[in-house]
Amino acid sequence: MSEDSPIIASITGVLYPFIIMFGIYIIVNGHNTPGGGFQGGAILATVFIGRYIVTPVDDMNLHAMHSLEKLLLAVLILVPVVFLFAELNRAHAWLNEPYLIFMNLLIGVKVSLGLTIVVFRFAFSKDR
Amino acid sequence: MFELILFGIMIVLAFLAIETNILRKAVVFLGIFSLVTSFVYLYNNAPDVAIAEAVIGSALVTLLYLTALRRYKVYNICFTNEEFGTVVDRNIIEGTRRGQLLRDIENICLNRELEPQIVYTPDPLESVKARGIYDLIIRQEKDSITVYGHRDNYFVDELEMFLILRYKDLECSFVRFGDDGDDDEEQIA
Repeated sequence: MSEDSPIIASITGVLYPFIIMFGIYIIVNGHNTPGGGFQGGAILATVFIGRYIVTPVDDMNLHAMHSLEKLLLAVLILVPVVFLFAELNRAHAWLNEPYLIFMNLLIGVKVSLGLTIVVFRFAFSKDR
Repeated sequence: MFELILFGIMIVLAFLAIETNILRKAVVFLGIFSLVTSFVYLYNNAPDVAIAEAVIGSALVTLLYLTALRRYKVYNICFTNEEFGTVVDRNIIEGTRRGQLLRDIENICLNRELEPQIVYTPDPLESVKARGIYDLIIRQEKDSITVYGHRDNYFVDELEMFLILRYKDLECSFVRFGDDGDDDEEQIA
């Protein structure tokens, strides 16, 4: 594999939208079809990591991504606490589905950010 | 029957991944292995696990391994001898001993799928070290050899063991240096 192969670059360029669409599909339909937040998030992470394989440049703000991931973790804990302890799921039964979709979305974004950060930190760490 | 075929393919792929000498091929075999595993999960009515296995096993881990291979590909070795040109090669260490040493190091690198790049220079050690691009510096003074390796480099330990075992009668010492510039002498064989 050469450093900048035009074949890999153009093929992955064509594939990006489909991968993103597939990942979002799996996240959004996770509550009643196979898949869910983790699987969809991992698929979304392959977009970023594939981009590293094509063009290895360190232009992502990993620090901001890390902060966003921590924030998402807090939201991920807060939303079920608010939703379930207030017993909104019994008072308004129609809220259950949006709740599950929202939670899957949060998990998906968090997992994709986490995996991307892990790979990029590994790829650009300075020690030998 | 279908499942048995898949199991057979998995065993063959696992053997290929272990037996191949080229790491990149082993990575590809492991990726296909994960894909077949995800088929088995799907066959056993576990689509959720199958998706996770397919994504992580054959995409993420493969990319991670390729990233790791890219990082550890080229191994820069610098051979420095400050009396280069004034001393005849032959007199330094009995005959072709020095060439043999470098050839051995090259062979270890190739076995580990590292690409050795050996540079010869008559420059003094300090200027070589200041360049900071070499993973391993071998310095020769008359008939003793000093090997300078970076402290974080996992490959240096292996090389050290090999050299001690193989060249018992050679005057050879090992020095580790860090980014901060301080050295610690390790061992004199």
